[in-house]
Amino acid sequence: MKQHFSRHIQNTKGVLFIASFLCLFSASCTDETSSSPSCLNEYDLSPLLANYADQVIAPRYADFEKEFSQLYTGGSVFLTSPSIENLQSLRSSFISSYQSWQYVAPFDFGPAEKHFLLSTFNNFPLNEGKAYADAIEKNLNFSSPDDYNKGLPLLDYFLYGIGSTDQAIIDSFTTNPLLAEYTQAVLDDMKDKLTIVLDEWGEYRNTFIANTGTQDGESLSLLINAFNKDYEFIKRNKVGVSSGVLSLGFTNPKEIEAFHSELSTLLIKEAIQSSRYLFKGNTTNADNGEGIEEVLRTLNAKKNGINLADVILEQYLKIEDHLERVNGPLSLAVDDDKEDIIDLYNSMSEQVIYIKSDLPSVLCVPITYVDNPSDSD
Amino acid sequence: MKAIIQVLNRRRSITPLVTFRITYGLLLFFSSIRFWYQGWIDALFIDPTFHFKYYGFHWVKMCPDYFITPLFFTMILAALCVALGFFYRYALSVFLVLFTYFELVDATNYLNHHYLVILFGLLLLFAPAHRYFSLDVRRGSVLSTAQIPRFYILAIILQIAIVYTYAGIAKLNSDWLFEAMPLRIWILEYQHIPVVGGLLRYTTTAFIFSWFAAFYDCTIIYFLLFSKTRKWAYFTVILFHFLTALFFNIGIFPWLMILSNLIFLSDSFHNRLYRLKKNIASTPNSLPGIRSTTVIIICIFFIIQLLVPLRHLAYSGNTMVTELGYRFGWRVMLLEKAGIATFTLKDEGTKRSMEIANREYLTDFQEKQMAIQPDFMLQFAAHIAEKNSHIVKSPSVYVTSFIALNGRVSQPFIQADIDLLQLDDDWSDKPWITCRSIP
Repeated sequence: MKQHFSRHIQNTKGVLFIASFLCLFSASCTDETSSSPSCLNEYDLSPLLANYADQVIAPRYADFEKEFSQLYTGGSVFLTSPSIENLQSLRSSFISSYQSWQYVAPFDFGPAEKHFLLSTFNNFPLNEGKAYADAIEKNLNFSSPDDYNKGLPLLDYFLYGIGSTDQAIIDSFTTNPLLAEYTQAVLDDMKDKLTIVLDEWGEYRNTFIANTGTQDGESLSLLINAFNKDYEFIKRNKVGVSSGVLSLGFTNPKEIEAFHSELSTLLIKEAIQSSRYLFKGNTTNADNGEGIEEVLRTLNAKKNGINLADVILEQYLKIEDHLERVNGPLSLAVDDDKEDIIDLYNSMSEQVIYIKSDLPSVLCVPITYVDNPSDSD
Repeated sequence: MKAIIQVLNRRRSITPLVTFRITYGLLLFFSSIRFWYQGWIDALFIDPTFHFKYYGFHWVKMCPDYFITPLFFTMILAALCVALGFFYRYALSVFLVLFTYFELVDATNYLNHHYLVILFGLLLLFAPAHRYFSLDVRRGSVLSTAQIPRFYILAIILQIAIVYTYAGIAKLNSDWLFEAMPLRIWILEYQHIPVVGGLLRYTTTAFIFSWFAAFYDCTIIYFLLFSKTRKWAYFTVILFHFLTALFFNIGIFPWLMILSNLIFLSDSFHNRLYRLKKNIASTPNSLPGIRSTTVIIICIFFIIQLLVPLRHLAYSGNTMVTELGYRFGWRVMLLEKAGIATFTLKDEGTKRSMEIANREYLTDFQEKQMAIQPDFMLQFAAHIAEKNSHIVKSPSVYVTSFIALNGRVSQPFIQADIDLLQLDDDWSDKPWITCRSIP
């Protein structure tokens, strides 16, 4: 009851504030209340989509392509002449590539979705037994998106986990040429898929910008759905599964991203930052383009009297705060730092309400990855 | 009573009823084939490992997979037999039993117009719609009849009137009239349609559609009944439902209404369809008049129908939000509603708990429907507890849920600190639904 009352007060304040604001700056201030639905009926989405295509998606792919080509070259060098030096150099480009990957992972629509870029690069946790067996049996077919024997997780295992010391890892490669062959094949697979996707994006860009509707299958809907899918992937697969919240509190320290290289916490940070920048429509830290954030501000969508854009950004900050408190790799933190991880997870869950429920609702964009197999009435 | 029966017994041509029988049978024949062809037997009956139930019908179980296709095939054949008037009453009974069964096995798939199909079918069961232009007449099992008591036709008209009127009343809410919601959202999908598409992005267009639809639903029945306006009214019926078919993913509903509304047209119109000569139409017939028991049964049928859509008044709050008394009330196309429901299963013994991944238990479509319907949440909570009984010995289930409707931000929906396993789904109010009105 008390909560209700205070919300009511907040609402009233909010209404008064918007109302006076609108009276000052716009001609119409007749029927604007905080509970009125907004929707993008007469909103021109072209600048927004152009910004995402040219200032967000294209540069992020270009960055990743650059990082990955170094990884690819470094891989070839190491595999032909395994040495401590070459391993270290390869590892460093592996780390940069894995970080950079977090910035393109959300674009799982259009060409990337068609060619399973997501599962090619980052199906984790790796099925180590299968990966090793496939290497030995020269099973080099990577076409199934349901296989967990490839991509960056494979490199994580082979470059960090296949031996207990660096020298042992190098020895594995020198004594067993099949490992090198398999690793090269995995690198080639990633390279091929990335090349196709980048090629197709050239043409897809125009389609993407031209589809200015808000409905199922149109660009804004694709973007918001992909944004949400990515976020839920971070929440569930990168944090949830290992934390034990899904398994009666029994943790799964091995079921994380980048287990052997111990990059998990870093990669979650990158992924959250990627998600936040995507929401803002930024390429890098500089706030330079029109993103979903600006649309929310234009619509003046409010949650409990606060601008929804601010609610979402505030929640990202809270999540990042929680992340700062996580020390070391997630594999240890899930047990040593249980409370913080649970807090992190809960904080991430709260964001789901804002971006999966509130955001599509006020934009009138249907969440379509929940598909309707039937008629409605 | 006698006088009433006499009035109801006044004769009319049988042909409007025959048209109704044929169009009903054919429409369901084709729509059932379509249902099959679309892969919905798999998507809605075979794929789900769990099925939501209607109150009082938990005993209706999904039959084994290998029975489903033969049963569905039988239903399709039965619909065709209804259209042909071949073993009419048996065919109609078989069709109705099977159609109703497929509705009852999973409440996720509830559709108002499927409910209407069942109601029309029940009315047809009483009517001698096979007494003309049917294989039953041809094979000699019944005599051809040119005239029937007008009661049968009036009953169908009353059924249609109930649908339109309640659908119209439901539209008289502030979101529909003053926000043009949810049409404002839905028409955006059709902006690329030539000519009119460009107009759809304007809120004004959504307002025109909303007001027209509300006016249409509330009044069309009177224009159809009044002979001077009938022709234009029927023309409007075609236009209106054709537009809804174009804009919305509502399956057979537009066609069901366009075809069933033919029953308003005059005897002479229908007679012409069958080249029935006027003199034959006016010959005395062999059919006895209706009995008072039939009238009483049909009256009870309609009284129930008049009351059922009003039952939401017995609950506090807005039925569009709470879904208390929402179904079977002709509330069609009223809401764009989405929810998020996160369940936590706790073990009261070990004090351990786990968050439930809904998708491990439900199809995407079931999850979407469950997240906005409180009774489904109770059923799902019980299902989770049962499925995990091997690891959680003394379970309790809690849900954190939010719903967003008609373009607004979301609201907390269900009381988060209440053990769902302790709650019963019955007809009483559900005080644990915390969101009661449109904010």
